[in-house]
Amino acid sequence: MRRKYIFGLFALLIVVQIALPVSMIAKREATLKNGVVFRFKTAPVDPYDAFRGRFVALRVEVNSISKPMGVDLKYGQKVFAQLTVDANGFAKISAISLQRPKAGDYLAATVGYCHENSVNLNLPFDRYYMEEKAASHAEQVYREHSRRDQQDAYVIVRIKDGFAVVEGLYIGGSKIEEILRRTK
Amino acid sequence: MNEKALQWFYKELPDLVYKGVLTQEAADNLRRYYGGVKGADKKWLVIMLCSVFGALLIGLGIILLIGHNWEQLSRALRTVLSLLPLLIAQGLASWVLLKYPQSHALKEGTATFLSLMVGASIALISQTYNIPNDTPTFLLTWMLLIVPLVYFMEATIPAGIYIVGVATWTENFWYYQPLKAFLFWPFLAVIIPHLIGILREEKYTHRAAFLTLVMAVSVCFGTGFTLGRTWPSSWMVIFPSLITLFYLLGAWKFPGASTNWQRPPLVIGGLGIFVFMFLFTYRCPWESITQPYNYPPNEILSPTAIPDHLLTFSLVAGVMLFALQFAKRRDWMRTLFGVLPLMALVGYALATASLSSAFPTSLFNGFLLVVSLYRLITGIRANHLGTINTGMLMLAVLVLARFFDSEINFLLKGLVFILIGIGFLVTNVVMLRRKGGAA
Repeated sequence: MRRKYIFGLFALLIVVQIALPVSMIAKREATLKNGVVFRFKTAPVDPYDAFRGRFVALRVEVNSISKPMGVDLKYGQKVFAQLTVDANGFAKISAISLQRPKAGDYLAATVGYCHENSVNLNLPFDRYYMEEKAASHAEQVYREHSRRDQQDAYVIVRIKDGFAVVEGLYIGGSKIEEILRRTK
Repeated sequence: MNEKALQWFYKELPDLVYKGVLTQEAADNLRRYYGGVKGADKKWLVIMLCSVFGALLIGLGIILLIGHNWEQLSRALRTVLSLLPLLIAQGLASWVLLKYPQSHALKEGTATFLSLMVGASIALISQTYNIPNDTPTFLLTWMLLIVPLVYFMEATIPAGIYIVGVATWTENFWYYQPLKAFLFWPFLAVIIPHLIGILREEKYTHRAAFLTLVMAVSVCFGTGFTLGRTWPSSWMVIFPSLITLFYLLGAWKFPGASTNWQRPPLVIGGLGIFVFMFLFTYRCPWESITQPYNYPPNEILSPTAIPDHLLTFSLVAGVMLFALQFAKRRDWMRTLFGVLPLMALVGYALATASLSSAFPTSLFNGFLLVVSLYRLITGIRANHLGTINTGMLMLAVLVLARFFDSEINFLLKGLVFILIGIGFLVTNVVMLRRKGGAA
């Protein structure tokens, strides 16, 4: 009897252990399938902090916005960044709010460092994973295209209900994997 | 009793009955009293090492195989492959639970493998979808998904992984979210029933030693992440109290241990007590109390500091009452060691009131001198070489440290070193001879 009981609970645990990763996958697949596409320009990266292991560290250029009046923001606090597109087709943060916006496209983010009049946001994409050997080469290419004088690297992100999934890292209009294949 | 001694004793029993030294009934009573020889203990250690290394190798192997051509695989295939290690581990664990529910070794091994593969699967999915760095959420999710295995599969290694995991999780909140960091204690409490079960059934085994060791070390880290963030340098009372609690618990709950590895709390506690006694003979820790305060922003009177105050007070008061129990039993050695939190508290008060480190350092120099001399004398009286040597070592460390502080020339310092060395040798030779004579 006790054994049956334990095995029943164990079966339940197995279901939960599988359900969690499956739900992670499902949410991201749904976003990749139905999310709105945004292009985020990447900012110059600190060469010493650009690469940690097997991913390229991404830093998005438009991660700072003027502080809303009368709102006390704390480090790590969840906020919603409302998005628009600039004349060049890149994503731009137009405003931030503590409540989920009722209309328009937005992105859930957390508050980074607050300055006197502006606030830095931690956007929910900070890395692009690559295969081990390709990664160091990718980092080099990415860094060359994220300098102040030549800045044509961007990430394509799909956003649905404030949730973002990175679709790809592009340099000069081509996906980084393609560039690596060409330059091999 | 020591396993080897017990094995030898059981081998002797039939002969003793045959020769009329013991009656059969007395021999049976002795067997009942001491219980069976647990050869399983050594097996547990081997299983522990094999399962951890096996699981790590298999897990890394799978990840390497997948990672080799990761870029060429479609996202759908990558997703399936991310879940594969988890499914394999779950299959193995289910099979063991259904077919071999009595085998502790198999349950321990497969539960460990499953624990590691849960983490591996989530990590692989994070890689496939470029999920941003959120170590605390990843760690907590992983730990909560594996902790039921501790009970369903009666597995201790997953309990160890869980304890280390929640301690690491806590580290992320100690600065900005002190109340969230306090969740460490309820999370840790989840393992207590398992620990109690093991201490009841197999107290002096490798399994119990492993769990108590992991628990003690993680509690030290957890204490650092949750307590001592209000009063300046309150760690000087909190950590000595914690380490004394380990020592007293070790002395109280593990009286039958035949070797030191069977009672990690006593060993960690004893060593820690000596380290603190010695550290507090120096000026710098006491001077830090009056230094400008630059600790994380947790006001002494803020509501977020209430759990900190409550737990600190319970810990310090609890340990002092615990030490009193040893005084009632007239176990003066344990009582003297157990006095450390009180001494730290007095030293803290003296340093704060006088704004000087002179009083507390003198207090601790005197305290360490009394404790080491008492240990030395007790050891000589009881003819116990281990106690004598630790007493002498404590005394020697104190004398040498004070000697180094002073402005005495090198020749004299050298001579004192030689004299202390000769003292150690002579005492040991005399004691060994005396023991030899007694035998």
